[in-house]
Amino acid sequence: MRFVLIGQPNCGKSTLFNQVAGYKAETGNFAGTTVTYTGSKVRVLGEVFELIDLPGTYTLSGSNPAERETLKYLFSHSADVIINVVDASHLSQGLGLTLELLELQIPVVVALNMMDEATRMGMVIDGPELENRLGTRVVPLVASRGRGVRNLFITALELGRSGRLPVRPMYGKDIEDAIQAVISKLDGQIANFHPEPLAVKLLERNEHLISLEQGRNPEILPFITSINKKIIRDRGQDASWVLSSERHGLAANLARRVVQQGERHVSWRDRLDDILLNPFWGYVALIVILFTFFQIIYSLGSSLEEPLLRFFDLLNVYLSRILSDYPFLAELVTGTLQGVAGGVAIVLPYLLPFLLGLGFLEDVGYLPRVAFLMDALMHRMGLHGKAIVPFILGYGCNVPAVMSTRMLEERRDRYLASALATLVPCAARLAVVFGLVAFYLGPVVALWIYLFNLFVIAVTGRIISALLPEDTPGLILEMPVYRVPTIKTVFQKAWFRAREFVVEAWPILIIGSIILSILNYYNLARMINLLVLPITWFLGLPYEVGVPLIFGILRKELSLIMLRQALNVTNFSQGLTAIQMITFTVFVVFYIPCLATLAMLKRELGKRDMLTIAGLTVLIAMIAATLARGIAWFIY
Amino acid sequence: MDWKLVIIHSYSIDRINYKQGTFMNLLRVDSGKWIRVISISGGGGLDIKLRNIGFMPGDYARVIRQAPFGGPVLLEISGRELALGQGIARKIEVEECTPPCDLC
Repeated sequence: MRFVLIGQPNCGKSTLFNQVAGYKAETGNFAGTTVTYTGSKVRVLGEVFELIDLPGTYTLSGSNPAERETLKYLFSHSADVIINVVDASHLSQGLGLTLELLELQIPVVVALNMMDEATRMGMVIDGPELENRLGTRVVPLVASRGRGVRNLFITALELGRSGRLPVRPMYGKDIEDAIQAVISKLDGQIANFHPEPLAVKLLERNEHLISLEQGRNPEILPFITSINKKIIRDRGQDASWVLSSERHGLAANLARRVVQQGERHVSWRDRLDDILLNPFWGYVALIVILFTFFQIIYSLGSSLEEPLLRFFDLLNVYLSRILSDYPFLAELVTGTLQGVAGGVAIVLPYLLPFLLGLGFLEDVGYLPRVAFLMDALMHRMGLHGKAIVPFILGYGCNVPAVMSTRMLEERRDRYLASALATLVPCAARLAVVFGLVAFYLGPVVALWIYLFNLFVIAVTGRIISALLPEDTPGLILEMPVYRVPTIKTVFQKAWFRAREFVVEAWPILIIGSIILSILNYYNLARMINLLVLPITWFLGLPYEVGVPLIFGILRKELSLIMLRQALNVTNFSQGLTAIQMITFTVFVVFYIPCLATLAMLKRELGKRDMLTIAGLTVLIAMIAATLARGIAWFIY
Repeated sequence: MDWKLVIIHSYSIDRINYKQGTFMNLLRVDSGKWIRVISISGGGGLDIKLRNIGFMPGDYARVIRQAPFGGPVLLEISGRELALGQGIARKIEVEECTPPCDLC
């Protein structure tokens, strides 16, 4: 038997799924964290069944990727029972989707989730009355605490066994006639789709289904268009509008009848936004929160990084000594070890606390507030408020930054946000800025490099968004209520995300590291330097800088570590002038993101966009470094 | 159970009884005021996008706050909070109203 979970974004559907299936889906107090569906085998009352978690969707109209995915799934796989998760504290909104699901001729059980939240808001929901009016089973649920989960699945199992179909709501007579007319046109054409829901969706001009149907039944599109014309003439709006507004009205009416609004308990959570979204204090709080966030990550990360790196260095020295008779093998081992160390000692110590902190901020519900506060600023770069998240993440590590662009709805926004987020100096580049510029030229210069970086990102954002055909659609964002996250979910989520790095990006890091060690073995440093000569010559940098720059693609801080080797000095001021230091650092900050980030870009956007972004960063790095060189020349 | 009993009329612009000249776009509403949505203009399927998240002409909402420096508008609509960017808020025509009694 197959159960399908459907609900609107932020209704706690993925939380429910993870409760029964173990941690397999992304959850977040942020709309749209699931975009594809996840399946799992679950055991209830000794019976094994399949549970599918579909992406959160407001309707089944198919106007965004998540909705399309959900509708496609429902019309192509057979579901025995739909488990419709509804946020009880926002009943009227949630019932809109429920009414749509009742039409599908599949048994539906409605799970009223977040009953604790509803109670807190002073709502009393008449469950039996709702059950009566919907004509299907309704059960209460608090998924985050696991309350009501067992009862829900028992009910679903009963429904699946009995196969009791819900009664769908009736629309106005003209719409009902139109539905019947479409059904008569469909008659006998399609085997696995139930004609009635299909007719309704065709009438709503669902593109996916129309194109499917058009293949076998070419008259269907003109027929629907003619019916629609009539509806537009009578009602002033097309069928999809009339249908959804009737559902909307019906849902509001239903909610009004079953919900008793009592006294609302005003708590700290209601007061919090008066400070956190305040035009002045909101920004103060934002800075304090982000600063604390980074401080914690940085101190945790660096306290882990140093001993781990020392351990790997010792291991490397030890292994090289053993293998000193086999220089090629020794070089290979060193390369592998460096790749492994890059992951264990440099990325994970920052990534793990970062993901934990992020998961916490996300589950509390603070990230949408950040998006709200930063929306105006982000618009200047051609993005909207939600795109601030990848930027914040970028300062820790570009890998989760690129990962997080998934929350943006439009591909254009995802591309632009990814491109800009890779320009944000991550913790590894911070090492270069501090180790070179701050150490030899003073912290003020380092600060200027950071400000210069922000300026370049803003200008790049403006230029790219002017070149892209569409405009950002603007911010439409639900502000969730603040919630106290459970430690378990925060940890599980961090692990779930860290695993993506371990599985996707780390192997590439190790392979790249091995390839470079082979190049090193065959003494190809001269060739590399020659290859990079156009860049080093143009920027007025020493010829030997080529190798550190190439190795920097592997791990950004390698460009600093190897610089010492390449220039054969212990004190950089002997090998580089102040101007060269600044030029080098600015170039390192902007050029090609590290291999791990490239791998993530490829995963999120595809190979072509990954390559264009990499090319773009080199171009920007050249321009920015030249600019910085000019400015530095004036000063020194 | 009779479904027809619970259906209320569909909200659409032509059914709203309004006086000319009281409309404004959402940006011009002061914080704390109740509004009723009159229409959503602009292409790009904005009306569909908003409709899909349950925001339609005829709905009542309260403006909680307008963010500074051209930031988004925060609305309370049927018990939840929704932030709409300036570009979107500008395309939403509303009229100020007294709080509807079942929501106040």
